[in-house]
Amino acid sequence: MTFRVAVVTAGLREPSSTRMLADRLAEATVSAGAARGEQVEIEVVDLRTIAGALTSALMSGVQSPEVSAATTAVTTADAVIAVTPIFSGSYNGLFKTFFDLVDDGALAGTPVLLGATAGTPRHSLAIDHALRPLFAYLRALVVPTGVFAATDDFGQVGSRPADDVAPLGQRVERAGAELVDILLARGHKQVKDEFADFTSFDELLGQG
Amino acid sequence: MAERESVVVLVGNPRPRSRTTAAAETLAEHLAPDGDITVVELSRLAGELLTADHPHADRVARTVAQAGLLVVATPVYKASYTGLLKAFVDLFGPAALRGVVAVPLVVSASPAHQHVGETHVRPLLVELGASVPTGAFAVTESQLADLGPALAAWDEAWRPALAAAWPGARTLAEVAP
Repeated sequence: MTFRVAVVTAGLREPSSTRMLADRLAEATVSAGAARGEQVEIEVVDLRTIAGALTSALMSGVQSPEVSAATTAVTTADAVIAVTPIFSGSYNGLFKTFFDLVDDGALAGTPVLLGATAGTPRHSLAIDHALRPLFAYLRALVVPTGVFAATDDFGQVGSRPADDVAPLGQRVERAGAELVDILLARGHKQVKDEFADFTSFDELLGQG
Repeated sequence: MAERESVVVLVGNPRPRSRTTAAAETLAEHLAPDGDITVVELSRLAGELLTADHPHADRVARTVAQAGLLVVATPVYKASYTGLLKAFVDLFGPAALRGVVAVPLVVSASPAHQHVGETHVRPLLVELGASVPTGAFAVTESQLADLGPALAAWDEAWRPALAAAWPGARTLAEVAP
C-alpha cells in the first residue's frame, strides 16, 4: 500500500527557496521509497495560500474548511516533511501559527523530517534549537538529519564547502533515506477515530 | 533620547483582553509607575499579520522599535511563544530593536514551561538587537490572581540589573525601602 507524506512549506514568496527545499526533500523521499520497493505519495500544504485563514482560525477557534483540510492532511499522513524559512533565528510566524493549530498529540509517533532555509549559514542551528523542541513537544519522531540550506547551498554541485558541511544534495538524500527507514519501520499511521467507541442507541437501549 | 522613555507592552495572545495582557500591564506599571505606557495587543492586528499589506502593523512596529522599555508577553503555545507573536516580530528587519531594553513575560499552564522566556523569547529579542538584561518574568496561570509574590521575587533578583540598563525603572531601594 502507498505511503502518504504531507509536505508543509512556510515560504512567503513565489518562487520560494523554502518550497524548493521542500520539493527536493519530497523527491528524495519518493526515490528512497522506490529504492525500497515502496510507493510514496506526496501532498503539499503550502501555508502561504491559507495564511489569512490561519489567523482567523487562531482568533475564532473555528477552522475554515481550507484550514481544516490542511491540518487533517498533516495529522493523518504517514509522515510529514516540514520546512520553514528562518527569521531572527527561528521558524517564521506562519509556520508556528499553523502548528499552534495542530492538536497536542495529533503528531505523536509520526515520523517528521525538518528542513529550513535562510540567507546565511549563521542560523544553521535553528533546526536544532528552535524546530526540534517544537516537534519534541508534539511527540513526533524527528529524523536525525535536519536539512538547513543557506542561499549559497543551492546550485552547489559536488565539491564540499569550506566549513566541511556536506553538499546540500547529499544531506537531502540522506534525510530522505532516514525518513523512509523510519516510515517503513513504523508502517501506516493509525489515526484514532474519535467516533470508533460510539455506542449506538440500540445498544444503549439494550437492543444491540 | 526622549522617545527612549516610552514603555511598550507587546502582547502575543490571540485573545483580546487576555490574562496575559493584564499581567503584562501589571508588570509594566510595577517597573515604571511614572511611565507613559502603550499597550499593543496583537489580537487586534491579527487580520493584517501574515498578509501582504499591513500598514497598521507597520506603524505599530515602529512604536515598538522606539520603546525604551519593552515588555514582550506571551502565553506558552506548544512549549514556545505564540505564532501570532512571531508573525508580528517577523516584520522587523535585522537589529530593529537596537536600543530597546526588553523584559520577556511568559504565562504557562504548568511550571514545566517556565523556561520558555529564556530558551525561546530571549534569543529572538537578542537577535533583533534588543538588550535583555534581566531574567524573564515567568508565571503559571495559577499565580495570575495575585502577582505580588512573583513581582517581589523578580525585583529581588533582577531590579538592579534593569535599573542599571534603563534609567526609567525604579531602583530596588525605591520599590522595597
